[in-house]
Amino acid sequence: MKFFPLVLTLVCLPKVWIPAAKAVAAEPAVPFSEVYPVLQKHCVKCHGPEKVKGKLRLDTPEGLEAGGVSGAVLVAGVPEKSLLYQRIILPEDDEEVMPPSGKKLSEPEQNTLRKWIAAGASREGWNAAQAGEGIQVAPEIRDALLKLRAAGAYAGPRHQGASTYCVDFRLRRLPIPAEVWAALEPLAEGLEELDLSGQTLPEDAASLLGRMPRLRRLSLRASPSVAEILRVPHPIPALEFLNVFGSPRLPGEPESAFAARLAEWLRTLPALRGLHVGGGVFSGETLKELQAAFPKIDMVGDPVLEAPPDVTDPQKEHPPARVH
Amino acid sequence: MLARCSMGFGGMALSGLLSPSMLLAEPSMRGVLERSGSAVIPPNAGKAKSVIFLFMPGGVSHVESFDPKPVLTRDHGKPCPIDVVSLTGSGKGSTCMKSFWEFRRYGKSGLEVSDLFPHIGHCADDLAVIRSMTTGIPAHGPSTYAMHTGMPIAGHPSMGAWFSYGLGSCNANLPSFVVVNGGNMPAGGAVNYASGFLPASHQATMLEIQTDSLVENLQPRDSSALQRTKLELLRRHDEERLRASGGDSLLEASIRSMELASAMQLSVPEVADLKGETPATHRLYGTDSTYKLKAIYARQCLVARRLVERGVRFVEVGFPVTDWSAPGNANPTWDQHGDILKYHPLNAFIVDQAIAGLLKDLKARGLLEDTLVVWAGEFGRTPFQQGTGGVTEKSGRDHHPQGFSIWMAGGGVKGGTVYGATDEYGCYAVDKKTDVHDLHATMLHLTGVHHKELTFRHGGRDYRLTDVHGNVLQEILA
Repeated sequence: MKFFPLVLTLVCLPKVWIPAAKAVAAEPAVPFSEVYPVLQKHCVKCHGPEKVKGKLRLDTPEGLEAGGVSGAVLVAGVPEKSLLYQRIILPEDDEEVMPPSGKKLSEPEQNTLRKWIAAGASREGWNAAQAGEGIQVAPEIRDALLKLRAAGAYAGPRHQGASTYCVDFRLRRLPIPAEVWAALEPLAEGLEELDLSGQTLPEDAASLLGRMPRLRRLSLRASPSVAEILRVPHPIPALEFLNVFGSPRLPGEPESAFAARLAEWLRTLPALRGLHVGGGVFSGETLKELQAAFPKIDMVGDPVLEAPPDVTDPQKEHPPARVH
Repeated sequence: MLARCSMGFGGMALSGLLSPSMLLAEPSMRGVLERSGSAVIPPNAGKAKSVIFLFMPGGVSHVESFDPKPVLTRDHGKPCPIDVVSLTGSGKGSTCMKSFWEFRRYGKSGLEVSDLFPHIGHCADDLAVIRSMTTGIPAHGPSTYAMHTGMPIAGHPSMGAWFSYGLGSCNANLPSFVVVNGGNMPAGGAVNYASGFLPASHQATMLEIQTDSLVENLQPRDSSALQRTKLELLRRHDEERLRASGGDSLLEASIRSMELASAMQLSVPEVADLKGETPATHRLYGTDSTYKLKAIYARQCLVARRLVERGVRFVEVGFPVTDWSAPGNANPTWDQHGDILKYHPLNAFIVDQAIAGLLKDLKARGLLEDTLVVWAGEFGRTPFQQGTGGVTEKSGRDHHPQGFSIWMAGGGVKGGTVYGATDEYGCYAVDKKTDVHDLHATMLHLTGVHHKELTFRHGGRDYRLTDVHGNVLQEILA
């Protein structure tokens, strides 16, 4: 495919790229934080933790340094001699173009890599860039976060500069396979929030939950695995909020038995102060008993519609107007 | 950083979007913006992940809903001593009119809500009522624009577009700004939902759900493989054109909407299909109401919950068409210049249970803590009756932008709070006067975005949703 220069595009494109249009002569250095997302977006799927095509990894500074079967990918200062740049600017139908399938790098993205290499291809700030928030993350944590992201979860530091993490699976629709669940292992120590809404977990999931000393917030909303987790409940010392809204019971299990097992778990959660237990999990009566047994926990059950009886009958066609 | 969000969405191949893995494992909440190639917002910087905006077109009478004024009861029928200019005349000398509805205290907070909204009253402990809201403009169109865009003129981006631009999408199969429409339009029309100078892909997508029947022929006639091939060809042409033209936000949006539309063939019927909801949930919202308008609004609210559950950033809930207000009608739904006694309760009846149901449902699901719900009209109504003469059953109230009530709930808002106050007659905001910029700044703050940092260069300067104004209402933050 023929290439059209994208200079015109810059007019309506973000200010980040504007220097590229203006300053061809000056070529200001591009910080690594700008290069990192480009590599993540286009390269790491095949040259990363999951696949290592051509024995090349572009997800670590070492990998970038070492190159792959075709040799070094970087010649600092000379983009034109760097494989990393050469291969991405080939025409789309060229056999050697990278990425080989899918979307080519946009012109601004190519420029980012070119200018970064031209200025010496510094990997300074790698950790900050990969964490996105300027914090240091160990390689195994990084790999775990990226693996979880690839599986459709949000996974990242709790907030800027935090050493704790949150992982949110709520938008994933498939059962979580054991190997994705295993990616939580390296994070378990620092995991603070875990959202498993709607998720079917692998069989031995409960034991890992028991190894999360800092877990504060756990959502198992509408997760078919709650009943399974309750088979062998594990203590979670720091857990403050638990959501089991709409969780189905084991087949054939009576409500009272389910309540008893939940109560058993609650006893091992000393810090718990909020429990979402609506969605038809219990009848009002059972919930009342449970609440009485755990007065310190604020339990949110099924929503009840209430209105002053003399004001509005929800089933009436028209509301009465009250004049006084 | 945020500026980068706007680029490159043409870059995601349709084939990628249509592949099963894409549909089943969507990009995650607050995750890397796949199409933008940039992780913009640090995780959990804000408490709210989504916003639901319940717009009350026409202006609800604040002194009859969330701002009780005993002095009006005392001076009922007497001349109003305060000079406040309304659309049709001056307040001074106009006849004071007490609330037609009694106020009650609800919940632990004892927040006062009138009998217009008995169901919402029961959610009082979740509400932060701002009684000192102002828009400063006494006409529907400009005031509605101000509430939606921060500017009293047409053409600026809707706040939904700003949220979409600033927070990005977290579900590739749904738009990030959706208007769940009941068929009516706010004053000023669909421009209220537009993206203005922001990239056109951030404009609202309207879902019309007046009936509960789904569109049946949403699936393509072609096999999915053939459809993919066709769309891929179309995309290639579009992209080449895009390159040749040097980038065109409208064309990008068109490519994006083509991609999104194909994904929505599967995602939208799923979202709009309410059969999976339990009978208890239907009863909670009132979708089973025999009063059709109420059932429609209940469905709108239920769909709004399903949308935020699936990661949509900003949902605005519109209003159904009523006998007393239809598209093109000069009087929006709540605009009771007369007959307030007849139509205010009908409007309230349509929305009250559904809104309370929405709040309770979100709360039960643990979603209220990360969903910000905002209830507002474009202004309030005068504390005095419109026109001259004594108060009758036919009396009404004029537009009143100088001080009125709105509320927020969830998403990091401190429930059971009253912020600001109007004077004893309900005329002027006298304590902690608040404007739309403060509201918008607070909404952005709650989603983790600093309103001064969310900018877009247009017409030679960096524009913000809050223009050059805006203070976060710290006192209502949890």
